[in-house]
Amino acid sequence: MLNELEGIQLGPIFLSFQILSIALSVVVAYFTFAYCVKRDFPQIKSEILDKFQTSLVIFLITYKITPLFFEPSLIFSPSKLLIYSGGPFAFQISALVSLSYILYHHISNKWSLKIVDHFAVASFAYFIVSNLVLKTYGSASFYEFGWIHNDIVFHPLNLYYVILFSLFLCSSIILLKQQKNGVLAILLLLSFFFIEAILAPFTV
Amino acid sequence: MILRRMIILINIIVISTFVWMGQKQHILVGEGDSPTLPLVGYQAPDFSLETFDGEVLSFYDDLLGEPVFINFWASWCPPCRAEMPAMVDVAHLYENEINFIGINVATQDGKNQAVQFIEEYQVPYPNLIDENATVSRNYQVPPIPTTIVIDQEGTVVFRKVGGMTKSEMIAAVKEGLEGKE
Repeated sequence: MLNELEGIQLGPIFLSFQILSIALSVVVAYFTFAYCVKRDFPQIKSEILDKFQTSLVIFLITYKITPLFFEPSLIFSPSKLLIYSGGPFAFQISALVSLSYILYHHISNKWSLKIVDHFAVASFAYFIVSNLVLKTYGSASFYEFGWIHNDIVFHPLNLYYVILFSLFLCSSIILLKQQKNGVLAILLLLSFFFIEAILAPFTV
Repeated sequence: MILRRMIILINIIVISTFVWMGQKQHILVGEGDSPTLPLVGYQAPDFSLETFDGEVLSFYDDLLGEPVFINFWASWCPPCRAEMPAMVDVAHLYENEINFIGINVATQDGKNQAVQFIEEYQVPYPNLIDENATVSRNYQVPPIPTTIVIDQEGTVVFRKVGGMTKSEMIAAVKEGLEGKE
């Protein structure tokens, strides 16, 4: 597993493992979503996937230009805009904008709630892959297993997440096969908060 | 039916295990100190380096007890140059509330260029020379600029790789002043 602070130096560009893990997880989540959509909605699959691809691009662009919202004067120094990205609330703002776009199309095209279920499954796939790729240190552990740094054993938090996300995802899919559309998404959302609560003692 | 029961049983076992481990963890947290790791939420590693004026500054001896804003930089790096005017402004703005420290990653820089950089931007805070990049390695800073904010307890509360805008720096300073929640 990779350390989030390390990366690959490609000439002047430093590609951190964190970015690589996010990219890989997004790709896996997208293909998971695409597979489910193609299986259940073959007639409108390209329309749905197009909108999701666009929302991803909207997310990236919004994230990149967020510094401009807080410091409009940056518009006069475009070279600095190339350097800056993110910042306070950047993730939240970008997620809000891109989810609003998807929500608008979901409502206006009267898409089935099953798509929300597929989106929830894809989100869990994202969490599983990102935690599988990237090492996350938890609090100091009294067990002998875990991530070791300077002779201190830390809880392997990412592995805990992988176990719980995988377990809850598989359980929900198998147990909720015959349920109404949207129930899976609600259960996975609740599972997410439940997992966070269970693992809270191991975080710093 | 058997599969469903098996799944429910596995869920119960796994959740119970994590809850039990969590209970035991609570006991340990009460006993031990926070471990050292250059990541948000952990105790910041110690360092002792010489400034460009020849004065030695040690994190645990001289800086611990007050919030610290550390910026790793090199004179040739474009994002370091881009963010420096804003950093100087923010350093002036919060000079009585937080200690600003610059750490020049000297293995990637020349001393003359670094001095020129400090003079060019009139950097008001102490800048340390990381001659052998030991502090950079301890703080796991391969890319520059990297900014780390540490609260008065010595806990890392903010970490960012790459250039920062003024509003981002102010938000980071505020995190340092508020400390670990």
